[in-house]
Amino acid sequence: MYIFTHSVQIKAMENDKTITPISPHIKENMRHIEALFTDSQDFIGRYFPVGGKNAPWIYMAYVDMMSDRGLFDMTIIRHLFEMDWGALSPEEKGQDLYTAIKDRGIATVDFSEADNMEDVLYFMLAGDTAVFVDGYDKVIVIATRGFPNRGIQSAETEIVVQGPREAFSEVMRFNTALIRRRIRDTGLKVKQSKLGVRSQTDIALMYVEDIVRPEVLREVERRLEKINIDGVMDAGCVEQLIEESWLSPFPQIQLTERPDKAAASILEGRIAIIVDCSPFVLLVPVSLNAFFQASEDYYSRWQVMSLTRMLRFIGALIAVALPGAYVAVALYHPSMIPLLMVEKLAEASRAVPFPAVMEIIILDAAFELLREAGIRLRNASGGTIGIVGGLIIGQAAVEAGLVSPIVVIIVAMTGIATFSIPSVSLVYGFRLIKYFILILAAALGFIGLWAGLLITLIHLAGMRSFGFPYLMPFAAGEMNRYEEMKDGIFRFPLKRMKRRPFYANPKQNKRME
Amino acid sequence: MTVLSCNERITLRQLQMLIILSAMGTGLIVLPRRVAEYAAQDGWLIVLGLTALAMALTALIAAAARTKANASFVVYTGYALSRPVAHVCGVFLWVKLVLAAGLEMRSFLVITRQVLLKDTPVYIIAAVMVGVCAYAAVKGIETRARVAEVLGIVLVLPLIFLFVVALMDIDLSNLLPVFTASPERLLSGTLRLGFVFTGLECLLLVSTYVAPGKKMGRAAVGAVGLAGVIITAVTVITLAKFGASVADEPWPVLRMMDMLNLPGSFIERQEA
Repeated sequence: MYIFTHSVQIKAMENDKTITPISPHIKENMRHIEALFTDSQDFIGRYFPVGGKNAPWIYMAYVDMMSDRGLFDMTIIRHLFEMDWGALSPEEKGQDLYTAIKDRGIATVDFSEADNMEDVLYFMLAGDTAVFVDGYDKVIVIATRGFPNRGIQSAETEIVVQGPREAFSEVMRFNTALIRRRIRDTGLKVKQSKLGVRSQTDIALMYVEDIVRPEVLREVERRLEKINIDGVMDAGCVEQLIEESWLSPFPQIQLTERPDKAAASILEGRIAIIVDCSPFVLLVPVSLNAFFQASEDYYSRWQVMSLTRMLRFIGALIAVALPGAYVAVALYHPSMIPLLMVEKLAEASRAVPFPAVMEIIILDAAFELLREAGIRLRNASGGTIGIVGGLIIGQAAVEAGLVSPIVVIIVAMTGIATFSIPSVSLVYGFRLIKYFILILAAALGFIGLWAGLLITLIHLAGMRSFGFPYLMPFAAGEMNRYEEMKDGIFRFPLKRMKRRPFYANPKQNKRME
Repeated sequence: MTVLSCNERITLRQLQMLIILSAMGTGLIVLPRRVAEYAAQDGWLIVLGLTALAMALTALIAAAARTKANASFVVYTGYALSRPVAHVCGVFLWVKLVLAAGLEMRSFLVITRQVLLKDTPVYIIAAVMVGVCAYAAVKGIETRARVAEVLGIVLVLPLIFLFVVALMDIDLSNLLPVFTASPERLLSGTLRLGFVFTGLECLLLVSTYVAPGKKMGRAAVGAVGLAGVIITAVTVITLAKFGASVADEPWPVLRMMDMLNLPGSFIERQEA
């Protein structure tokens, strides 16, 4: 306990958290708040009487544009100004002044009370309006959050042909509502907390109480509580702070911008972590298999989607191993391919001054640059970059004798294969591993290629996501009687997928009778 | 985090895959030649005998390991034979494993130099192999078991496919007449060619990680039986392919795979 220098208020320290009580003297509270918001032009505070002659004085404070002005005017200002203190009945006059303002002066049910300055500041900075009443050590906090946002738009990174279009937005409450709309069950919980000492970012855990594994929920909460950082700007930051193997290039937490995917995952016993100001929601736990699953897989017929799923796995293998395999064959083992093909390879690369591995690296670097440029310059410019890169640079490089035509095909196939994988974060991992395997293959041919693939496999086999084996169900699938295999390389008919994955509480493992 | 244990438990399927992969080492590549040296075209009978012997040994090891649940080799051996004897056995097993690993590595390097990398110094290939193995070792038993589970599918199934293709180009008359080898030769071959199942002792070490209450013995014996079936099939196919001349082939299985023509495939050298 110590004396607060600004006034006579006393601060108490509770669990390292500073608690500053509200003073019953309204001007002390005003001075305190205005001192904190010095040089903050977006802060608005007004001290005024309500209810006409001999009326009580109140002090209202909020942050400009963080609040919904229309709501603010309709539910607070207008009512407070129209409130006639003299016209109150004797019973109402005898009522506590604070209660009278709360009950008669505010035309909304969405308000709360705060009894310390830290809570008041948190709510104000989140867009709520604080109403101090002279003579009372409590504050009415009215929910007026209404900052500018882009609303609910279509998904950009998880586009589907068949299925819902809407995507998450930067407003956490929109995102929780999008999930709630899909799971109308009181068992669906939204556990909210704050993250970031300075940013005070809202985060929410969404899960179905009886489907989630309690130990996983506890672990998620524990890891979130351990985070001690000044600010969190996006879900990606939280992802990196709570994952197990931070040295790994592979994602251990799934990001999605699709509410249907998040809702389906919650019904599988997983937990959605929603971070305010981020249009991506984190899903935990996760396995490698989940990164190959797209929402659309379940909305179309199983035969077609099984084929698509299989193609994605083949695409992943191509994305990781094709450049390495080409280099191994070209440099070390040309006898492994038919003679005619060897002749064509030799003919194509005769005029090229670089070894095969350098050709691949040069063209792949150009491809990565084009991809990066395409991301920064979306829409029309992005398309132009793609055409210019794909056609002109590729063709020009071949004609200039810098690379052979087959290398253009190899790099293009590798690039196309990465686009077949639904998860962007997994693609990032594969793009890095591809170079590792390429270098090993360039050094040791097929032995290097095999060593690189084996090291990658060992790495993946050793990974866990919140305790769950990352390679499930391809490894350790026996623990759930290989149920997840029905949603692995092939997507079985929905009528055959009667049990929930291993993520779910074993007591609730049946999802269909 | 204990949803699942960390490096403490393996499933029965993983145990089986570890056993099968251990049994299918580089020894398999020379096995048809070695059995032919003892029993000519009846060599496959030696493999059957080896399989039966290995299954019996597996049942014995599993029973011993189950005498004390989740105990290490030294602990359960000590329980049966006293602690000093157990420690001696432990040292003996360790030396045996090191020697077997070294032999396996040597065979692999010889084959690699012959088939894939003729000019690369052996120590570089060996360093890469040791590096990969060390990485797997550091990751723990659960990781190794999961890798075995994946490799079991990724490697064994294509190999089975290759041998099915090889079936189309064999002459079964090369196996005739049967039962020409004397029982002494068959017995001698069975006892001397036990190296094929040299990976079996991995059961001594990994049995401790199998969850208590699981039917480990049955699963392990089944895995050895399956490995035996695969090895017998490889031997039969190779003997049927080369006939009596198999004894002149230094690496008969590699040679047989080299001669395969996969329908629709553009890969020329399957042995690599």
